[in-house]
Amino acid sequence: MSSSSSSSLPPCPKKMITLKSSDGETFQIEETAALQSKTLENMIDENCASTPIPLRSINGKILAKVVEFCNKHAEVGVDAESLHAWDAEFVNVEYTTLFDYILAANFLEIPTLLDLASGVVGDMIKGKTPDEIRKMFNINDAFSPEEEEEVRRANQWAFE
Amino acid sequence: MTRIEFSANPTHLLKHPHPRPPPPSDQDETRNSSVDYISELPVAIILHIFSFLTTKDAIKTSVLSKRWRSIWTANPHISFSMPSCCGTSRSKFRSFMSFMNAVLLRCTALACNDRWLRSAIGPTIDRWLQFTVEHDLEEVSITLHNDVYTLPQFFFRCTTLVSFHVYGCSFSTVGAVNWTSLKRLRFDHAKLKDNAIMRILNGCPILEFVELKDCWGFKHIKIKSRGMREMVIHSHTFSGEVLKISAPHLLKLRILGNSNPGEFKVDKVSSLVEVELNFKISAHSPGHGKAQGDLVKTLLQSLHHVTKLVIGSLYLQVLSLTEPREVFLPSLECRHLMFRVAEDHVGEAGIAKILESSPYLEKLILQMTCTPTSRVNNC
Repeated sequence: MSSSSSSSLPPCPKKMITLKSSDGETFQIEETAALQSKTLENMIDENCASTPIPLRSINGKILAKVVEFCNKHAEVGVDAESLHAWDAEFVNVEYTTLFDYILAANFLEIPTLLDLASGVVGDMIKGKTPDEIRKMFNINDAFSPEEEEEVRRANQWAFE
Repeated sequence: MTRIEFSANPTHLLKHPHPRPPPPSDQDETRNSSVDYISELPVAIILHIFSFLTTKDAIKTSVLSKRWRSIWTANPHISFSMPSCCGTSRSKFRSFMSFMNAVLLRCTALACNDRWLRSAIGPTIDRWLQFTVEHDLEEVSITLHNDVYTLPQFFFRCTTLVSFHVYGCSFSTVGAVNWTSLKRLRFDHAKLKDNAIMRILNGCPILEFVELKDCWGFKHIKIKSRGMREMVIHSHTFSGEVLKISAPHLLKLRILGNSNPGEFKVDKVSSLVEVELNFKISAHSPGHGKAQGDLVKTLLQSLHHVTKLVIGSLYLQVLSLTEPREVFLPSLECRHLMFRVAEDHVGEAGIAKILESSPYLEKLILQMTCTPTSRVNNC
């Protein structure tokens, strides 16, 4: 809209918006890429995106990755196969980081990222025994053996 | 084989942003690996993760810890496959059924809308349908492998139902139908007498889509709904010589598949804008070409006002079988014409005939499919 920082006018000036992480880092993202987030889309629609948007629940490290994800997925001409490979690499991280991606994607409403990261967590759980899952995620607060037996009995079919 | 499936559209399951305060960023680099982060995730997110699991794996999480004990019961994606051993063991079958019932009683998410029920055999289906009615479910799909199950009367009065699909069901007794919210209706492998189908269709005032596949037993379909967008008749089995279709508000009609000898007649279809014909009537005697040609001609005549026509291989075969002089096609007002032909098609003559009769044609699309058409041999 208004004069952009670059003086040479490209035929279609790219609109940028600024995001601010919980720890004060700022990130520039093209509006077209930001539109993958419904939360940001709503803010853009309501003209609330002209000043830096504070994202208090997302830290700089995660926000950088989220911006990278949105940029990649907004790129034109990327074939499905290489995007798939890129995605696989993107989520090849510690599970705690996956949770951060999920929470950020949830907050920003980015379904592609939410599904990608949730799917990986799902794959981690699939086919594992309760013990293996507990160990993998440090789940404490376990039942006593008697209580566990009772829960198992109630859901017998799933454990057959 | 037998399968029961509930699935909600979990669109927008996560309306509430993460309620936790943001973790201090300096701590983030060294997230303590002994902390149980997964259990701290909001339930909506755990349920979303469940959507990537089988129901069995989701239920298994109930033993993880106290926090996890009942999370799965809010799972909007539930699908059960009856273990194959149930077919041979009555006790296993009973245990599965009682488990199913127990699950339905405990699943809190079943109170949500938008759901399918794809179900099994046995009298328990009544109870499951009762459940769907009590919980205002909007989508129900039932697949049965015996034709003796009759839908219970109360189900025909389910006013919240929006989409209903049933495969292999008997409609011997249909009382009052009050499907006031129903928009999509699909019957598959069903015998419906004229009065049954009439009651059902009259009981759906806002119906938009109806599909009758491999159905038989009726001679007349009459749809009054003003919102009627599409009707599909697939592999119809004629019970009598004619199937008459009256639907004054219908926009799109598709007649597909192989049928036994009979004639499709359309009547009061003035709103139709699009028609797809890809059906074939199997001939019962040699020298039947002329009779078939006549049927084709009469049908096209009554559809001459339609502006978009899609003609498939099966129909072209019928058309090509007739001698050129035997069938003079009526003049068609069609502007958009599409031929869907299989690689092995034998329908050139049919294509020519239709093109000859379409003086207003603006757009012609020829779509070749690689899969051979299922041909009817006795023609």
